[in-house]
Amino acid sequence: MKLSAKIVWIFLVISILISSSLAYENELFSAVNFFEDQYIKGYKKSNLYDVSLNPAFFKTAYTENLTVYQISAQRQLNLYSRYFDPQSEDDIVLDLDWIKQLSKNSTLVAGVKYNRSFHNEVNRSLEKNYYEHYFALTDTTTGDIEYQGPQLSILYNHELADQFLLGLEIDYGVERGLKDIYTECETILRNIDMRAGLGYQSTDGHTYAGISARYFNRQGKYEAVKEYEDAFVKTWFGYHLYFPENPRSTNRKDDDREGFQLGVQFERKNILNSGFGFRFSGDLGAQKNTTKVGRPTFTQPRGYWEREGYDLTGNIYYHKNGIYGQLFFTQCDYYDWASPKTYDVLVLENDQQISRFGSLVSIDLFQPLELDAGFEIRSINTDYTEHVADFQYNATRNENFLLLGAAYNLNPVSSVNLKGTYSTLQPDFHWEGMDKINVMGLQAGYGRQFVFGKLDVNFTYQLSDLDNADDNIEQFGVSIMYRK
Amino acid sequence: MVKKLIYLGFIAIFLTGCFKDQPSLHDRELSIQLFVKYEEQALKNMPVTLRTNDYNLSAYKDTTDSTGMVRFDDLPFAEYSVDIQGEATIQSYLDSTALDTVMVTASKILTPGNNELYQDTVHAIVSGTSPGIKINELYTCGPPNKFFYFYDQFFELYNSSEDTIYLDGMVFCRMGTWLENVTYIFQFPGEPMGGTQDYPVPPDSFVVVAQDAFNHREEIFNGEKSVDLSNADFEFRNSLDYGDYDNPDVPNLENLEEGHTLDFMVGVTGDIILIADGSDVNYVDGIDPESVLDCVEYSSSSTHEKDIEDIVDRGFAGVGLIKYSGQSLERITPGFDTNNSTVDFEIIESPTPGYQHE
Repeated sequence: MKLSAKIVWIFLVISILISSSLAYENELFSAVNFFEDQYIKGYKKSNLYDVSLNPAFFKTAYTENLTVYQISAQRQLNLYSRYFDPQSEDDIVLDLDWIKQLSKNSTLVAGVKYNRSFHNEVNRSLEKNYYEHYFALTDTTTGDIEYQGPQLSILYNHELADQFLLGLEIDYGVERGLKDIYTECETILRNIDMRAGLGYQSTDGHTYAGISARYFNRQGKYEAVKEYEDAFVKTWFGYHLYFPENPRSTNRKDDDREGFQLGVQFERKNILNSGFGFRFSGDLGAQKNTTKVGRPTFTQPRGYWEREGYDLTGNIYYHKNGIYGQLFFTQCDYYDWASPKTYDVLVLENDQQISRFGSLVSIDLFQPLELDAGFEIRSINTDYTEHVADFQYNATRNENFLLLGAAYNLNPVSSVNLKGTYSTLQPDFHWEGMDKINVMGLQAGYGRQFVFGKLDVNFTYQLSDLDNADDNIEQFGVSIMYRK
Repeated sequence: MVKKLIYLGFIAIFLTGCFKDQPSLHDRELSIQLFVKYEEQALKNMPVTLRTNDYNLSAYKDTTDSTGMVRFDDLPFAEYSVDIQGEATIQSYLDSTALDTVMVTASKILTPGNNELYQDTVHAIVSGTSPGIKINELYTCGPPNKFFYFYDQFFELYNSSEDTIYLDGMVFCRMGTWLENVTYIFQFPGEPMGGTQDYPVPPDSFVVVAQDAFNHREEIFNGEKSVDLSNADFEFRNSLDYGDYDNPDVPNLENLEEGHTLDFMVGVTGDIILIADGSDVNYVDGIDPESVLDCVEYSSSSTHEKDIEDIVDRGFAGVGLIKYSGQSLERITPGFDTNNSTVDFEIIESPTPGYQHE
């Protein structure tokens, strides 16, 4: 139960610089972020479904009915902000999830999530996160942008025969964003993400193997209008060059994405009854992105880019006698290339390798006290080139993460927990002149079991201290979770 | 290598037809080779300027060699406009054994394909522009405001010749698409072609012609923006427009068009302005090209399709001009005229009535 919660926490820390509102950006190899799934949080130890997201293995990990209602709120103060960042962000998420065991052979999962996000005093950018777009849209005004929309998900997992599993998962989301001042840019994003998987489990339930496929599609529409004064809409090519769009009453951007992913998985549990096990998941994938800008009735090509790569994840774990420990590694390697407008040439390339190695240990030997500790070492190698701007960034960045946590059961129905994290990050060229970011995080929580279910309240605080800067980034959060 | 093979295998097996092939050519590997000619004579030592609106890049400049060829390397793939202007020594029309030094000019839009080398020939013509009265500045787009105020428009004239020129009886026009389409026509006071000589313009001096000659800055915007035109040299006046402001201290250009009831108002980010010597005031059949002293077409849109005949303006100014921003269009130096407003004008952040921007 504790392991995945730790992983969640670590990845929350890792992703501090990434807005929590990335839920609508279904990226290739989104498995990197799968730990953030709310109903999984704090519920159980990591499993093959968590690692691979192959829906065929869902019922092997979640064997009981579960209802989770969660509301969370977070405020981030970007006292230090990059040129296109908001000065602050407020996020509210309402998350309702149900896991229902329909029969011995069938499991159904349904989820509804409603996100509302306020990006305040966004400078120029019409993108949710300017630094994640190769062909971003900007104007010349500063304003507040509000994003909101629902996400729906459904997963069905069926055991075909005693040893074969079939799973299908569909996620669908819609989001609308609106800037409060001209260009009053309205964004509408529609995402669909589908996964299908086949799995095999041995009769003793110790060996699993599977294959999975994923298709995802994202359609984005932007419409920036003008009132009295033109607000100079620009399309960027990378981060150093832009094309000034023609002044017109409405500038429309179509930003479409489509991708595929194929994966294989294997797990062997409790080898020779020693408590040791290992699991492995590997994915190959590719995605393409097309950006067009123009007037509402006719948009013209501005850029096309593709990403191709693979993602490998491995776990070696031990689970016996109140000790749960694991070593994990991941290797994600992808290559992006982009061409501008209608020209069949490379305008930018990005070759990236991300290697992670870490360990998490949870000790449940000293009841009523539970102790957790973990670390992760990450190496990110980036070779990014903008050919027209003659810009090249080639660097290997090292990042380290530490976690310490404790939970204390006050009595059979209530408990408190306290967790602390410390990370050192090396930012990339988007953080000009910034050598290092030290991130400290704290979480304190209280949980109580009632007749009708369990309630958890958690408070989080995170401080990102940036070298070479007078200001920092602070994040406050609170969440209330009902679980039954 | 292994990684690439894995990707290629993956794409070949599963995604054939869905994705594009990766281009083999890097951007900024384009070379443009131009041959500059006047009739069939190669023009050597001719300054050539390449500009693109596709990126926020500065212009590329070079000079033709002894064969009239110029080559630009390491360019991004984009659409370019080439502008050429300079002195050329060509065979005299009057005496085939003699040489004349003339100003020549050329411009062309270049649209390279996906090949590394783009070659083209650019034919220059004698610029045909001579010193004289020039439309030096056009302030049309209005000050920053939210009530569509653009009545502080003005035009600045400049005498680039070495002689005093008299504005008497000259006509100032807003044009339609062609020289035969006159939208507005207003006339300076006096008789044209030397009939009277009451309104002289000395060499190297400016004349401001206002839509309405009053202090827009103080009276409309409380001193914060716009421009003071109370000291303009002339103002447009339409006696059929009973609401048109008339400053009694400023001489008027009067409307000539029958039934026209508007003041001289032009498009804020796109239009055509013309000044002629006044020898042809019969606007119904257009303006005689021979009488045109200067003409400027402007448009804020880079994809604007050129309207007015090349003989009076071969380009258009104002790409990127922003409505209600207070920006203005002015020649890069006083009276600079190659008969191509694309290269002659630049956008300046605020108007400069009666003087040249720095």
